[in-house]
Amino acid sequence: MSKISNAIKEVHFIDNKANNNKFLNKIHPLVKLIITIIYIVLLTSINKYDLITTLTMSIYLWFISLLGEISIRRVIERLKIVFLLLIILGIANPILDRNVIFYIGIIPVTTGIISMLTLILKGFFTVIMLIYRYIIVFFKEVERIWTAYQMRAPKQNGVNFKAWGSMIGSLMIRSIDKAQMVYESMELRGFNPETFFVKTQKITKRDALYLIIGMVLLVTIRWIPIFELVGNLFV
Amino acid sequence: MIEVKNVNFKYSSSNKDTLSNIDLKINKDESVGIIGANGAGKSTILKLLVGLELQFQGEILINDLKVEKKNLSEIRRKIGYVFQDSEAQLFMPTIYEDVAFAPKNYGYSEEKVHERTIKALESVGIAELKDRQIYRLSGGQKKLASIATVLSMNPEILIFDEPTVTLDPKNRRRFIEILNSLKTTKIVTSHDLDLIYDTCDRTILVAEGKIVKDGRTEEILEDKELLENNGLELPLSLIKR
Ligand SMILES: Nc1ncnc2c1ncn2[C@@H]1O[C@H](COP(=O)(O)OP(=O)(O)O)[C@@H](O)[C@H]1O
Ligand SMILES: [Mg+2]
Repeated sequence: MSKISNAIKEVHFIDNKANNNKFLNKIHPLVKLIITIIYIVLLTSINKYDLITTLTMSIYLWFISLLGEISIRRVIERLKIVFLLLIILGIANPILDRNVIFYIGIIPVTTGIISMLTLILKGFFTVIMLIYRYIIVFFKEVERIWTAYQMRAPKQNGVNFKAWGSMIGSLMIRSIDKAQMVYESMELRGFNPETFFVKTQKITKRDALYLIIGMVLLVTIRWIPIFELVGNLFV
Repeated sequence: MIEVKNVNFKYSSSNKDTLSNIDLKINKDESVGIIGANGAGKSTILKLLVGLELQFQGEILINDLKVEKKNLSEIRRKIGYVFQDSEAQLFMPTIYEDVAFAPKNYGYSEEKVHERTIKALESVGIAELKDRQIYRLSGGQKKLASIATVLSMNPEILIFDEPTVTLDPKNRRRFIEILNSLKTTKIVTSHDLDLIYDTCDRTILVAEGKIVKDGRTEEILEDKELLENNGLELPLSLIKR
């Protein structure tokens, strides 16, 4: 479980830097949101066996970190856990059904993407705001249920096959409950997903620039096999 | 002022009424305890006041504003709701950002947000923890932080759901002091009757979704028979005497 606690701290670290940074602070939340959505869509669109691309996607986190003026050494130190987290997230991908229904240009549209789009339409504004927090809630719940299980089944190392189903079930219900409460807490303190991103500030040239750079960067790291190209230089 | 007029409520997943015939009036600056056994409906009453559940019959007014969808933002601005589960209430990375969340949302200037945030942190005595990450806090600190997150809205009404459940005796005493120092309308649900004894002038006893008794705190908490008939026990401080 210590790996999970580290991953939790890592998520906090990334999140924190984004919040403390002056440049990023001035970027319109809507722009940050769009970039984040693109990032997540691209990340989840990666074939689940394509580890290299998954790793490449962490370049964007480098980008944020650089803007956050963190020392590169610290970033490298910490990034290995981010890699791990990305791998974990990548492995979690089977949740998305990847049957191709049709193509838009060359981009395959899968049933997984369709269901995700529905999600986006319904409440992605909010979910994005919650995502880091939500991941933490989820991991904490895993830790709690795991501890409870071990206390009652001390001699068993792995989880008994029969217990898996109910553990996962209770985990999901509890995380959804928690997420619901977190959402209520936001709502009670004046958060309104419909107006929050729109009314706070005007979109400036800086925002447009950030949006363009962000999108170009994301598309580049998603579709250009950077690691492979760099690797080829040495063979 | 809070007015609840003949309210009935049922959760959509439940088949019987969770609250029935609730009638009550709470005046400005009153401090009111709501007591009752587990599942009596205490938390549900609080949720109705802030409009987290809107499918009720009857009428609820907060400062003459009806609790309904279109008034929610105005009503919620006036009420600070401190959850039973502080962990679910806090969601930003650091205490400071969490406490600043509400004033930011309400569009205050940067300086105003800062001023309110610091003031809220100071009034619960955790200003020195402001940059601490939420997941590094103890249970007691989380509770104080979640109180600060609602104080930064300068609410006219504060509601606390089972505030002392996760607190150790020292933090519990500190919480009681803080509560008594806050000069607003206060509603506290609890089955910690000693807490109610120390903080509330008026007590409302609920059982099975109904108000059984509403009166002065001493009168209700000293009535052993009434309490025992409703699944509660005399406060410890009264037993000793
Ligand atoms: N979200 C919900 N859906 C269905 N039933 C609920 C829900 N929340 C609470 N209840 C039920 O409503 C009743 C009152 O609950 P609650 O107000 O939480 O009681 P208390 O706070 O006094 O312990 C209980 O029987 C409880 O099981
Ligand atoms: Mg309750």
